[in-house]
Amino acid sequence: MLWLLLTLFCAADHPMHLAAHELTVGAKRTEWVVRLFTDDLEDAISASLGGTKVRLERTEGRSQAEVYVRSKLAVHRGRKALDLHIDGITYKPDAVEIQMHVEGGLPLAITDRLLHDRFEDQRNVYFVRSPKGRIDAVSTKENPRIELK
Amino acid sequence: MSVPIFAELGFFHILDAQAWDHLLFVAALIAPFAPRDFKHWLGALTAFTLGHTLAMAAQIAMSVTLNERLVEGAVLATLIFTAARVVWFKGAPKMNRRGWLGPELVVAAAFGIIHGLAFAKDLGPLLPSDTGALWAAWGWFAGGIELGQLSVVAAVFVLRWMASARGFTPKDFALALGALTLGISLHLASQWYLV
Repeated sequence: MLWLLLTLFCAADHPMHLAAHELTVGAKRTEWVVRLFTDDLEDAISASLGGTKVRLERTEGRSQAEVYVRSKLAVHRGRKALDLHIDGITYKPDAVEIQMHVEGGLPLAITDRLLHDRFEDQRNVYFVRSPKGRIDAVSTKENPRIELK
Repeated sequence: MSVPIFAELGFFHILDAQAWDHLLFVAALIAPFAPRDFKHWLGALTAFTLGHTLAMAAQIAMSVTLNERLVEGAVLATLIFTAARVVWFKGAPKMNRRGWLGPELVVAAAFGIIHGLAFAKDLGPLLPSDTGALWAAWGWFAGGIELGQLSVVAAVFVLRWMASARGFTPKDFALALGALTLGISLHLASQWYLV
């Protein structure tokens, strides 16, 4: 009984529900890299597909990741919705890096729901380098919108 | 600000209700000491902190891919060793003739290095590539861990005081905490071995 309780409540694994965005703002284009834990992203895509197993090391999995990212990230400048260009996905067993860009620089309004459907405590942190300086921001499930000016 | 969020992550990394390894290690490390023996417990804790902070920095700087299972196993080994030591000495603090910890500090620092590699393994993949933001995030995370550790220390001392008020000797308390930690750590090790 004690063993069962210990099994239920104790572990040595630390789930950190975090994604990190890095934006480098230029005059004509904003380069965007997001890093997500591979297992978290695979689980989220799998759940969005009704439980189908997803493997991001496979081409098909990376295509599914693109669809998932596009469905969870919305970018606006004023009232205009911007196209999110996904330039590539780099797979590593621990983290996946997705390279993207949007046309133009600041201001940007980002609605980021990446992994918020999966984890209540998911935080997506933003490190933004712009000609005006550095900006930091966080997107949470309760407040997924980020305004970069 | 997103960078200070790493302090929160560090804090709750120690006080993680779903993962008890770091928390139990700190509890076992200070179990034999009374608050007034601060030069001992603070010494051990500082050595552990220096070990894990520098190891985390080195691992982030070198960006070496670590074997996750090996690191987790090593962390559990540090936990078992520290808890078993408390039980072996029946809850009494083990000091040299001058009253200083001596080799204990080296062991705490060495174990800190192992825990630092585990912290880096968890955090490293998502750190920004921008050098300034990277080291700011590392600093905040390390600060959060430190606050988490101090919270564990405070909780252990409160429990110790409560046990004392109910007639338990400090050695009884340390022995009970050591035995509990040893039991849980052996259970965690069995889970680690089976997975």
